[in-house]
Amino acid sequence: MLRNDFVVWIPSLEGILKYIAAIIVHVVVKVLVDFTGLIQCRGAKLMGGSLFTFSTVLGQILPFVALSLYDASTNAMNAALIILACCWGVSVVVFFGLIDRDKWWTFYGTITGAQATIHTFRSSDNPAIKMNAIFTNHSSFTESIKDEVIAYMRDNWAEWERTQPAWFTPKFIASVGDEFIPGRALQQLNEAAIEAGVGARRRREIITLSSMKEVVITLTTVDTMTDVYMIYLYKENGLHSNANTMIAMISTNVAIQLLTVLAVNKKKGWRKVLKEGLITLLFIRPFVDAWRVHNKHKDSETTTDPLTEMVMNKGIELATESIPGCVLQCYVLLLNPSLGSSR
Amino acid sequence: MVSILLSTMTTAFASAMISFDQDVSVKNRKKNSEFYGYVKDTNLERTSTFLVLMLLAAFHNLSRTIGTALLFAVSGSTTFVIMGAEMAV
Repeated sequence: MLRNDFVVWIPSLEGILKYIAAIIVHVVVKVLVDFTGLIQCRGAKLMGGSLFTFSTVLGQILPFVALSLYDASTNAMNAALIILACCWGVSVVVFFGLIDRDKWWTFYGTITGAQATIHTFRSSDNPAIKMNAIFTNHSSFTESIKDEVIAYMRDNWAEWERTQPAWFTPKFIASVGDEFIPGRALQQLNEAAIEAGVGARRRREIITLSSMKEVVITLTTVDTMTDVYMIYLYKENGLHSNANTMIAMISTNVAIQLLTVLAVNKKKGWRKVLKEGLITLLFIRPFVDAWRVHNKHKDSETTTDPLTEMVMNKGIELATESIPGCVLQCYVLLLNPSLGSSR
Repeated sequence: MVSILLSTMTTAFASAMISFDQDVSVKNRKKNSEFYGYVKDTNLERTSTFLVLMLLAAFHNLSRTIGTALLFAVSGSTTFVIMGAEMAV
C-alpha cells in the first residue's frame, strides 16, 4: 500500500470489487510463496522479486523460531530441520547455477506492477506488446502515462486500420476505452454499430462487483483420497474438530472452484454451467483441465484459455486444501505421534 | 506420514509445473522477454531445472509446514499473530 501497489492487474475491475480482488489475490499469492516458494509469484504484478526472496528466507527461519518456543522439542527435531534447511540451500545454489544469469535480477528487483507495465510500454518497439501492456492491465497502472498512450495511438491507429495486424482484432478494439481512439475512428465504429442495429460500439464490460501433467494430476487425486482417509482416521480416533477442519478445507476449495466455474463460463447457458459445476463437485476437475490443455481445447464462450483455467484451479487447490491440509496433518501428528504409524 | 509426504509431493509438483510452464511459454517470452526465459533451452537443462524447482518447492514446503505446525502446537493465537504480521508486510 505504501508503494501504491495494492490494486492488482486484472482489468475492468472497479469500485469495491477491485479491493476485494486485491485482498484475495495477495492472500493466495502470500500462502503460495510461503508454503511452496512458487517462483512465478516473484513477478512485479504479484509479489515482486525482493519481497519474494525475503518471504522464502523468512520461511526457512520460522521453523527454528517455532522449535525454540516448543516445549517438547528434541535434538532429532532440530537435526531434521537443519537437514531440511541445508537441502533447501543446496537446491537454491543449484537452481541459480542452472538458470539464465540475465534473469537473476528478477529475484531481487523492487519494481512494482505499475512500473513494470509502464517500462514494457516504453521499452518495446512492438505495437502488440505495447498495447497488450496497456489494455490487459488495470487502468490505474498506466494512469500516469495516459496522455502518452493517447498520443501514440492517435499516431498509429490509421496505420493499424489499414494493415490490420493479427492482434488488432474486434476483441482488442472492444477493450480500448473511447478516450484512446482517435475521434474519426471512434465515430466510424459507433456508426458501424448503429448500422448493425447495435446502439453503440461493442465495449468490454466493466465489472463492478504434457506428460508431466498426467503424473501430477494422478498425485492430486491420490492426495484427495488420502485426505478423505485422514478424515475417517481422525473421526475414528475421536479427533472430530480436526476432521471437521479437513472437511472445511476441502469444501472451501470446492466452493472457490465453483465460483471460478461461474466466472469462466458466464457466457454459457445454465446447462453447460451445471455440467462444469458437476465436474468440480465430483473431483474430476484436474483430469478435465489436463485433458483440455493437452488437446489444446478451444472454447470461444469461456473467458480464459484452458492453461490459465488449470493454473487458477491448481492455485486455489494449493492455497485452500493441499497446503493447509499438510499443516494440519503435521500438527495432529505432533500432538498424536501414535497416528503416524496408522498411515 | 504417507499422506504428509504425498501432499508435499503434490504441492511441489504443482508449484514446479506452474513456474516451469509459465516460463517456457512462447507467448509469455514474446510478451515479456526480460522476465520470462530463466529456463534454458536444451532438454537436459530443462529437465534439471524442473527437478530442482520441484526439490526447492518440496523442501520449502516441508520446512514451512513443520514450522507452522510447531507454532500451532505452541499456541494457536501466536501462530495467527505471526502469520497476520507476515501477511501485512
